[in-house]
Amino acid sequence: MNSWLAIWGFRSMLLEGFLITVLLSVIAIIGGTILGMIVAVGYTGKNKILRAILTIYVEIFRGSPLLLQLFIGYFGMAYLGFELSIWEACIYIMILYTGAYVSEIIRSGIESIPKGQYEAAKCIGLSKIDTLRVIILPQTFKKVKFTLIGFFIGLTKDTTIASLVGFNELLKQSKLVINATGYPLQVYFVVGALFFIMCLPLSKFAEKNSVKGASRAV
Amino acid sequence: MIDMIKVNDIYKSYGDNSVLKGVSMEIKNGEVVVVIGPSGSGKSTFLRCVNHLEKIDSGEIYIDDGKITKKTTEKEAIKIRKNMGMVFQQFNLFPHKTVFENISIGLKYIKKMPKEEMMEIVQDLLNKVGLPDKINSYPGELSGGQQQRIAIARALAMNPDCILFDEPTSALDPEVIGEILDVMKKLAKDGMTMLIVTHEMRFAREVADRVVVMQDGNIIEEGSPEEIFTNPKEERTRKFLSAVLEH
Repeated sequence: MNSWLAIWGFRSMLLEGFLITVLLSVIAIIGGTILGMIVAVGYTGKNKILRAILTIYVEIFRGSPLLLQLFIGYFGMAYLGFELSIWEACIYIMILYTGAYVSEIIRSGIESIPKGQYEAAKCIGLSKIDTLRVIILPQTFKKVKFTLIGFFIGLTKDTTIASLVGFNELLKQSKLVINATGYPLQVYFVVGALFFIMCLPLSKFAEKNSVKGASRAV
Repeated sequence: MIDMIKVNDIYKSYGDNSVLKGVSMEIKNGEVVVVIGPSGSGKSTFLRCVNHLEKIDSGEIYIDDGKITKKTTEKEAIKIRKNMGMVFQQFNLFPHKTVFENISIGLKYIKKMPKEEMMEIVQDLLNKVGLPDKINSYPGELSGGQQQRIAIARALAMNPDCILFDEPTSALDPEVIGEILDVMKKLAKDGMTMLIVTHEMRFAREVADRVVVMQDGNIIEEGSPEEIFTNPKEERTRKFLSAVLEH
């Protein structure tokens, strides 16, 4: 009982870590999704140079460990003279990392839309932008929704990696609380519960939508 | 207003496989032209070249003042397609949009029409195709025949002068083919210019002003339905017709 009371005494630290983790996750999800969508759309175009650049970006950020990217973004950039605050470094890297994955998920969705949808849009006279915005992307998001949510849940948990460059997210804060109280198991239990709470809205959203999606035959 | 479509000696190939080998044709305002022929004869490709869904390799297609050649860009094609509707074998309705949104999509994004006005047009078109109560349905909730009727309504929404039909009944169950053909007959009666690729010989015979027979990328014969179906000049036409009419 004493252990829980001791941890309760440090609740503001854990809450701070919780909010910072939520904030970092939300920024990465929103920023990364916008970036990923732009990259995916750019990839459907005919410009070969643009496609090559986008491929390099995606392969670099998907093909290397997130921890390494954070190290390079924070310590490596500082070494090169670009001093970023830890917030900036973590946000930029998380957005770039998310964007690379999201772009591939969206691209696979775009490629699965039948050619007839484009042809019908052409015959009606819709512009390329309207075709993407009104016809292709809404169908794409419907198809890749669950894959995206699964990735976002993983991403939220992966923000813990940022603790290793010294970012004061939930895991980092919990270590401070452990040092102060000496109850590692209990603190980690609380952290686990907090992550569960964080991911719950995403899982619930997926669940609710899958029921709705099934009742409306498409 | 499209007065005439004139196709002049068009060629089209996919790699080594040449699909159209110098096809020429004229379609006058209000005329219903039905293209028949065995599978792989190039009739669908021909139709798709007329509105530039497929790029031609050589030749020209004149649509009033507009002209499609090998060099026509997608931007120019949009202008040419403005007066042309198209109905596909697979309907190609937008599955995430309601019937109302499917039919009114061009009115909304191209003509920027207010909703009340679109509502009136859509309701009119739904009456025309015999589905007045499906305005809020999604395509997935409709049968194939109903979807194709919605697709025809969608093609009509932009008030085209001409509609291209690419095997509109080939993906449908036999018992619903009649409902599509009835809608098309009505359009023909109203004076719509129509270019139709189909396997429905009875329909061709009843509705066409002119029947065009294609084989191996060429037009082998054309004439009135009477001439083609009762007294074809070409041996190949005779063979094709006896093969399809026997079954």
